Amino acid sequence: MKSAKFIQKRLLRSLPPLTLLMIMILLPAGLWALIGFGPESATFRIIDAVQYQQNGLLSLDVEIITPGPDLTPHIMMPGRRFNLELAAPQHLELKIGQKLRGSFSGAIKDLENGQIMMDVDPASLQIIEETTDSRDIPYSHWEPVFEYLQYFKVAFIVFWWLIASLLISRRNAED
Amino acid sequence: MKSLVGLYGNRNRLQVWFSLLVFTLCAWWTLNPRSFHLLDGTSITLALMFGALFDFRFPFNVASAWPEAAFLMITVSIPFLLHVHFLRNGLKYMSALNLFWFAYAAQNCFRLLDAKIYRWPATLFFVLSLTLTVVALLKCLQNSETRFEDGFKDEIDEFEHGENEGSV
Repeated sequence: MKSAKFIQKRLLRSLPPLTLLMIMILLPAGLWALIGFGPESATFRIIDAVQYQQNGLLSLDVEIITPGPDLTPHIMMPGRRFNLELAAPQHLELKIGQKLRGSFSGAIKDLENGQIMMDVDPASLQIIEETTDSRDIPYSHWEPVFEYLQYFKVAFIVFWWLIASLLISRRNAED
Repeated sequence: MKSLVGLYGNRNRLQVWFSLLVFTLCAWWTLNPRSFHLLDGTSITLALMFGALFDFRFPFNVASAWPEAAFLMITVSIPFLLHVHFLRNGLKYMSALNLFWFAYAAQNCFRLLDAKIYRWPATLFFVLSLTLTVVALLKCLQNSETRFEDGFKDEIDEFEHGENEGSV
């Protein structure tokens, strides 16, 4: 009984510094995790794209042509490439090679890997220019494989475990 | 094929299990390159240290132009420095284990190129990273210690010789 009380006392005593430490770690982590920005009316070109049958999403590889008025000129640079995922817009037909205008919203996941998460508002999209060599967006060839991707990853590791266990196997245990 | 079975059967089991464990973790991270790698902690620490000298803003921030290249150079140079160190001091197993760090360096190049949508160079670095992980595993098995007696043959001879002399 006495020891339980002692432990409780010790716990209570160590709680405030632990909380303070957690606050010191978690607070800047939360601040670093997402730095958002919203470039508006930027023009870009679709350099490559693919369409998914399951969820009807489009995956666009775009290249910025003119960044538009924004507070983040070091992010929205002409020539910078982004990957966008969006639901196929109803009011226009997107094609590879088109020049478009649209409103972006982005965030930097600094604490994870610095990856820039870019989103574009489908309603804000306007086609500016359509060249003669622009082509329709094809369906993804890899989509049926996505389901089994995790199993492939595990299979890769298990395969090399098997090879290693063959290499290190001992025929007679006495040796 | 049959000669390959049990080729490294006489290796130190502790080192073998350790290399298999490291392989599993590194391969998992290489196959999930957008997750947080264990060595990222080291990279961030180093980048923060060098950040006092050069303006890096923040490691892994692919939003700016040259700092990310400088950060990548530092991340990639660490395994080379370590490799030279290990080879100079005859640490064969450690130099083989260091190949996992090379794989991580290649993974960093993949991350950078993938973030910028340069698909073919990114794919090449991904394949390189995966290959290096496998090569590292096989090299680790090869360079694990065989027997204590083999590694310290001269010392044992000397010791036994000295003991015999003493008894005479």
